[in-house]
Amino acid sequence: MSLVEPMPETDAVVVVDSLSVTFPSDEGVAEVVRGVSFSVGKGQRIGLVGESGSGKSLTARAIMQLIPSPGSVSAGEIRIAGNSAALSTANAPQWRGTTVAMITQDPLSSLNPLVRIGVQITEMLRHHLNYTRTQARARAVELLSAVGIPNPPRTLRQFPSVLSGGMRQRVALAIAISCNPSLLIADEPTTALDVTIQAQVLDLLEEMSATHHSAVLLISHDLGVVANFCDEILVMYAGRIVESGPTDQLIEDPQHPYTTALLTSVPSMTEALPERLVSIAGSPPVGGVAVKGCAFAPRCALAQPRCFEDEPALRQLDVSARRVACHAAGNATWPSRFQGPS
Amino acid sequence: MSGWVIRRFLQMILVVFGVVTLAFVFAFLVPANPARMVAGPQASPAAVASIAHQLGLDRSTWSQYWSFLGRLVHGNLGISFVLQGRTVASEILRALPYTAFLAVGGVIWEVIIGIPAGVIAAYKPRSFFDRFATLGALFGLSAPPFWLGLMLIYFLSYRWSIFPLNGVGSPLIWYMILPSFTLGVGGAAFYSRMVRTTILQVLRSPFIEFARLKGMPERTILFRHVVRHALIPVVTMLGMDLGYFLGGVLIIESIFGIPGVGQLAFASISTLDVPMITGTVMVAAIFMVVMSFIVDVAYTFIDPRVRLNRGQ
Repeated sequence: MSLVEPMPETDAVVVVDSLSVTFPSDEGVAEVVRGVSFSVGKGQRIGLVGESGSGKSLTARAIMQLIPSPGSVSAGEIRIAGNSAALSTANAPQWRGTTVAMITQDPLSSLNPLVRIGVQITEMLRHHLNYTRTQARARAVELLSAVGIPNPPRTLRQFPSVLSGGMRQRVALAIAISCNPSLLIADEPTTALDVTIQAQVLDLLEEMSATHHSAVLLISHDLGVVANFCDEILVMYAGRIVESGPTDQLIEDPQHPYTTALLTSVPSMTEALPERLVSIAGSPPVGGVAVKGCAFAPRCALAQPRCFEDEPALRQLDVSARRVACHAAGNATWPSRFQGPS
Repeated sequence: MSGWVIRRFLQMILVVFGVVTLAFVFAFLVPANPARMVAGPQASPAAVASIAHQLGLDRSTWSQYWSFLGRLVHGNLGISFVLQGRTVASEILRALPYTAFLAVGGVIWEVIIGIPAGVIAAYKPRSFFDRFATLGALFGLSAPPFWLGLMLIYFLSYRWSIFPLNGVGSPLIWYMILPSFTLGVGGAAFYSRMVRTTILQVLRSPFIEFARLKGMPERTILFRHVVRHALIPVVTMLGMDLGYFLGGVLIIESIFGIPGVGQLAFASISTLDVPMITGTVMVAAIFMVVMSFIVDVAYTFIDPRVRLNRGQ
């Protein structure tokens, strides 16, 4: 059975349904994730892109039911295949780390500096899978060699401080994958690493998710990284998904002006670089401030008065499985349709 | 590592030597004649002079210092001026067990109150317990030991006759509960605050988030991943506390009538018993440097990052 085949909705391993995350603020509550819905199919690789503060990391933490205090999930729910109850902190022991696992951005500090690497791997196997000490150790050696650690038995006895950032991220990946999760969330797994190491870690992520049949939710601010890695892309802006669709279609024919702008700002490897790298003018709304109309309108080249009044809903375009939240998308009569952002 | 130990050992000897020399010098700077102190206020000048000669005080300070060092090298701390015929070493050895018992007891109280209180307060910030612990810590830090000791004696020993009133006896532990508690309260209060702050910091760190993402139960996270970090600063200070206490804790020893090193040192100062002064000071200094050495070594066991940096 090929994993590349698109899966029907019923085969989804994780369904995120109208998820909202709020934080208390001076003006009441700030809604930093607003009605995010998507599903991840078995073995699928989904990319979640957006700039800093767009709510992508919080979406990941909401799935893990670990929103940092004082934030909370204010609406929506997350369900996983084979579990009728929505994910919650109460039933976390049944799924966290086993069905859904996650690696975070900073490999230098995601391992405890005072605990031997061996313990940090085996504690998970022993807790979740009830391995004996010997079984867990043998499995840990396997996992470490699978992620390309040169001398696993020695590494098991060492402390994280002797490893480089790339090696530590490999260890973190080995830990996250150790219980064969159906979904692995990778939150900016390569951001803190050197470019050469980034590619290695991504290759490894691809290999590991394939051998363990895990779906991957890759979170990144780098559309280039996501486009190379994922079957499907979700673009987030100011706490909402503004466009989603299969990678090829989304790259070839972006429907949302924000996606278009993001694509324009990815430097090309084949054509000569422009004098200055293209950037999107302006800045996104500050964390969770309620905006009237479309949050991207102030930076959008296509914006019309209507865009500042009512917020476009995320709607299905008649073409295939693509969704977009833009008044202009698919609207042939929209003024200056193909101008692109200046 | 072994090079470091040797360097460190020489350093320790140097520190103790310096401290003892200072104690010797200060004892001679006091504008009083030790021989007069021994002879008593009624004694004739001739009697004082004869005693001074007996004690070697009529020789030059240099020559006295020189023979003092000569004795010291052979491990001889000398003979008390005041307590006729008693060696300094035997007096200190007689007092030391009481002080050691008291010091270790004080440190135990610090640990068993301070660390759990800090951990619980950090896990439930702004809870009733946290506020209660804050108040308790404020009390523990500000209550003077002499007052606290007297209150404990008054209520627990005198009014309710639970504990012995004063002094030492058998079993010793029974006589040491109140004194060691009084000794440890301040430290316990301090540690509870320090542990609370450290843990609050550690709980925010990415590796704790990662441990939670791994689905580890909170209890494992606490004992395996959190408490170790909180212990790093505690171990340093506990070692220092123990070293300090072992040098004698005069106030506690006085209130509870414990014949420990603190009382011995105090008595020797008030009678200008020079060999006894230098002896007790030396013992205090040795405990201090030895404990700080042990702390440094212990550090390398709790924090692997320290071990790595030492080689460079």
